[in-house]
Amino acid sequence: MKIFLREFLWILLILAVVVLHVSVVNTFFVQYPIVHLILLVAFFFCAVDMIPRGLLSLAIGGYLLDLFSSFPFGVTLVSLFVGLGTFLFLQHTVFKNKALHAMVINASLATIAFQATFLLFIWILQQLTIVSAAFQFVPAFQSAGIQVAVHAILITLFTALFTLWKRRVFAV
Amino acid sequence: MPYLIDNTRSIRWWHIPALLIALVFLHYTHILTPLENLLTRLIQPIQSRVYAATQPHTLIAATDASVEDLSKQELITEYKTLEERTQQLLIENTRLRTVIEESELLKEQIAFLEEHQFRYVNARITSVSTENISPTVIINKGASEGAILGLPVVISNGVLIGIITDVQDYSSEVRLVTNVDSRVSALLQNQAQSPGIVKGEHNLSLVMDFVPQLDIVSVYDSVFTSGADPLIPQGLLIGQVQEVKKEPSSLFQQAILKPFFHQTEISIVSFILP
Repeated sequence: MKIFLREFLWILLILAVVVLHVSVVNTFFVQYPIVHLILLVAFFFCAVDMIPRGLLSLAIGGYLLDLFSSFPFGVTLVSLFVGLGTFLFLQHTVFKNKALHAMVINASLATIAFQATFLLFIWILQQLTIVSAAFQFVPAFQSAGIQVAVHAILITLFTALFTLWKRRVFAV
Repeated sequence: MPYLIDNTRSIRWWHIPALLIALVFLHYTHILTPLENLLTRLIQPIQSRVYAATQPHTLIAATDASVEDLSKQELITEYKTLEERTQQLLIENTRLRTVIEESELLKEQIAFLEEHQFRYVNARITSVSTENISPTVIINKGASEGAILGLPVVISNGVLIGIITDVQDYSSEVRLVTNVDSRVSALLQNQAQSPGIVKGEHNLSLVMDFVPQLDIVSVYDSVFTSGADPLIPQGLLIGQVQEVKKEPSSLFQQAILKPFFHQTEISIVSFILP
């Protein structure tokens, strides 16, 4: 029963994150959002060794985001998985520890991979005239740069706090 | 076989692309459509409330204010009320002039107006599209309520705000008229009833193009739909002329329009059924 409740709460959390992303985060920024909540949640789960949970969070959240997307289905999902795949690859092959600098670099490069894949898709779809030719890449690159920094800072912060919590540093 | 993590719940590298391909496949084969509809319906009520709560005018109302701030807010509220009333009067005037002109021409046109009583379905905006790169919003009504591609979407006083461009069972995507990809056939409320095409500019404003060079276009002229587009009836208000651009060597002139809505201020809309 406990397990069922926990999994149910986890699914609710993912749905809440999706709602926050499309109905709040997306509406606050004039051009493009500077934080991707679903990607952030997936990075966090993977950073604290809950990889299956991170993958499933991304699958559910990315699927829902693609439903509300004006691009062909699959663009957002594939880009998100490329980002997460990059994060996992770096975490388990290049940086095998959880040092702060490793977290910063992992999150930065993974976000760059996500944005690069996404923008590449947009560019290809533009050539095929599936996406409007009015899509502006310069503001997209600018917001991507900000997103990289924001993700790197937030993931490092969350991972550090989680590690401290696990080690009972905050226990009275 | 390379493992990503070394425990009983290990994940192989190929699980990720396999999961991805499975999800995309399941979507395009419509196997997961019932689940998609269920999830959409589940989160839509919350989405619409969250979206409405984060819009600027509601945020202003929610803050605590001193006496001085209340006075300023009252002025702002009063100004907005008067602006809406002016807009309603302008629309009503436009509609009345249209009815008078048509009834003077032919009897059948009066019957045409009586026949074409607009049937609406009300809907609520629940979010903007995921990428938020162009004016596109999601509403909480879809094919189950009669939505189809190309239907016009209006706000409660008959102003055209967009066209439905994607339909699912319980939600639809609406491309706003200010979107650079939007094209609507329109007429000017001037003596010549000049025709033209209204398109979005910079995702913020409207331009009416292909207006005959010799027609007289004045600032504050209203622009409404011509009815030439399929599924879009005549007489829906689009915008008001702010500036006229004329080049003597060109066959056509352009009018810069001000739309009658702000994207951040609309949450309740209606789409017109055919």
